[in-house]
Order: sequence, then C-alpha cells, then structure tokens
Amino acid sequence: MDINTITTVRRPSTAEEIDTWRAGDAWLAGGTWLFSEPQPNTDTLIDLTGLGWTPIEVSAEGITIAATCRIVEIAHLKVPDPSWRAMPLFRACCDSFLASFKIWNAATVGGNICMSLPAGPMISLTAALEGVCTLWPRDGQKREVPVVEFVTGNHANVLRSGELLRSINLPASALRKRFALRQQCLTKLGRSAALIIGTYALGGEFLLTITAATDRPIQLRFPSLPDAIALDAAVSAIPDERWFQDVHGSAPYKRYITHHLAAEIRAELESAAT
Amino acid sequence: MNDGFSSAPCIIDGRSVSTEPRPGQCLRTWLREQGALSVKKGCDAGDCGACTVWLDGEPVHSCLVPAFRASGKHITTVQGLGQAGALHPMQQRFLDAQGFQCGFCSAGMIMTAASLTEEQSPTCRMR
Repeated sequence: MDINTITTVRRPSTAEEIDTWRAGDAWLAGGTWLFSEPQPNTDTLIDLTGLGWTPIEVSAEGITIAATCRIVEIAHLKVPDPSWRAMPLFRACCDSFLASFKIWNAATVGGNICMSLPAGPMISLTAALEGVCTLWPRDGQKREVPVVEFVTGNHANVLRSGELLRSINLPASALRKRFALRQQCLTKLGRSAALIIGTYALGGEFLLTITAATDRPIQLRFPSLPDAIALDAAVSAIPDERWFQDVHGSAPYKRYITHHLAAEIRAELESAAT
Repeated sequence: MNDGFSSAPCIIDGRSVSTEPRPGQCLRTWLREQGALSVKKGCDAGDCGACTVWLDGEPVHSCLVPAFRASGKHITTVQGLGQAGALHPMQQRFLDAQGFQCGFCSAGMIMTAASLTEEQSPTCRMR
C-alpha cells in the first residue's frame, strides 16, 4: 500500500552515510511488511539495496547470508558439497512461509528475522543451523549475537535504536549435521503453530530448535542423542510463559504438539543414524 | 548518497516512463497513474495477488514494492503479456475456459499462472 506518511527516501551507498538516526527513520529491505500496513510513525525510508551486499557467500567455513538476501535466493541455493547434509532445510523453511512464492521475490532473510515473529521461518532456519548475526550499531563496534538470542519475544529483539542487521553466518559444522523438521499448521499452507527442527552430528551433539510454538526460539542441546524420556523431560521444563498463544493454537495445544513432534524428530534422527 | 529517485526510466510493457514516484508510493499505485489500469488494487496488503506484475521477469505483488525500485527495470502487466490476436498462451487458456468470475482479479491470476509456465521465469523453471 502507499505509505503516505513517507516524505523522504534515502538511498545510501555505504552504511557510514547514515551518520544520524532519528525517530521516524526506518531501514527498508524488501519492504513486504513495511508496505503491508500503515506506518504512522515512519516518515523516512533508508533503502538498504544501494549498499550492494552480496546475498550469499559460501566458503569452507560456512555460509554468510546478507540481511538483504531475498527469500527466493535461499530457496534455490545449491551447494556442491554433499557433506553439507542440512542444505535441504533451506527450501523446507522457505516452504514454511505463510506467503506466496511471489513474496519470495521481494522479501528478505533479514526482514523476516528482524520482524521477530514466533513463526518466522528464517529464524527457525538460521537458529537451527546455529547462525550468528552480525549487527552494526549506529555508533560503536559491530557485535555478534546468536540467532537464538537475537529474538527475545513476539515481535521483539535485541536491536538497539538504528542498529542494523548486516548478515547471518552459518558454520559449516552445523551444515554437515543430519536434520529432521516438523511443521504443524491448522491449514495446509497456513502459518506455523509449531516449526521444530532437530539436528544431529552422528555420534555427537543433538540440538532441538523450537519455534512458532514459543514466543521466541528455544534451543535444547544434548551432548548426544537423548532417549525419549530425557527429551520429553527437557520439553516439559520449558517455562509456561514461553508457550505462545494466538489464533493458530492455544498454549497447551502448542506444548502438546511440541512434545509429539520432538519425539518424532528424535526417532527419525535415531533411525537415520543406525 | 542519492536522497531522491534515480532518473533511469522504467519500461512498462515496452513503453519508457520516467515519471518520478512519490516517496512511500507503492508500485501498484504508480503503475495505475501511468495508465496501467489492469493492475488492480485488491487487499492492498500483499495477500490477494490481484496486483501481480512482473518486475524484470519475476512476479511480484506490486502493492508491496516501493515504486522507486522500478527505476531502470522492465515491468510487464497483463496488458503487455500478449497482444490482440496474439495472446499469451495463458491468456488464451483463461479465455477458452472462460476462467473468470467477476474478472476483477483475472489480471493478477493470469500474471501469476503465466509466471509458472515453462516459457517464463527462469526462477520458476528451477522449482
């Protein structure tokens, strides 16, 4: 929609050109949320596309995703190294969006993470793959925050005023892990009531990342594949206030379905390991 | 820093247009102001797809795209998809099947469906 409160669009070619930050400023990446509802408190858009960040950089150390990388680029990402077993997660998480494939052509990975909704599938993806966000404050040194700590609640995150999410780094060690994903929705292509990803390094660490069912990502880490009882107990230990209640499911329903899906994930990864 | 809009013209259905959009204006509104009235205002929030156009060959919901991003790009609306007597195959199929109800959304449906055909977007062929 038209955002009639906007009076100025700034298109910097370097982040340093934005040397001040004032109320009313907003970073613009894909724009798919900003342009989807009125923005009465915003009068200036600062367009990030002019910064020219490379969308995806692949190296032996892992994958670095620029905040401005479009979803469509993640959906079609192919990496020739077959030892990176978790690569199919990229497409699976894109398919978990409550959005048309046309939205993939505009929406960005950074936008989805910064929106910080419980059911943001790019949060699920990058948290499960042990991603680390690089943040650019308006003043001071850049800082790094794990994705799982970046989102602090429904529509809430650690970004300070004017601070910019620059990129997300996914380490190769996480990309090599086996994975299992489960999504629960009230409708076939609906918003996730639970989006849960397990990753497992054969003979090593097991990581369960719970999103959508909780107000922020919850990660359960085990030094090895836990038995069913231990996993169930860990899910039970998640505080009541973390379970996120909305029109897509009550908190008790989301807790119940998480127990169920976590058990399925554990069993799938156990059978894959034998 | 470029604090305004690029002056690179945009090509709408083969027609060069250099009218500068207003700040905060979405692509749909700007296209309609340039005479592309087949681009419909539906939900105005990116949900329905009635405003679908192709931006450099990729289908987008134009109500969500900042108009200034069209600078220097090619936009295809249903008006430029085919020509009288030489309709795009998807337009022809909609016509043959009378695939319309009130017709308001048909332009967006055709632009979406056509983007999925073999002869169109390379990104769709990859799926």
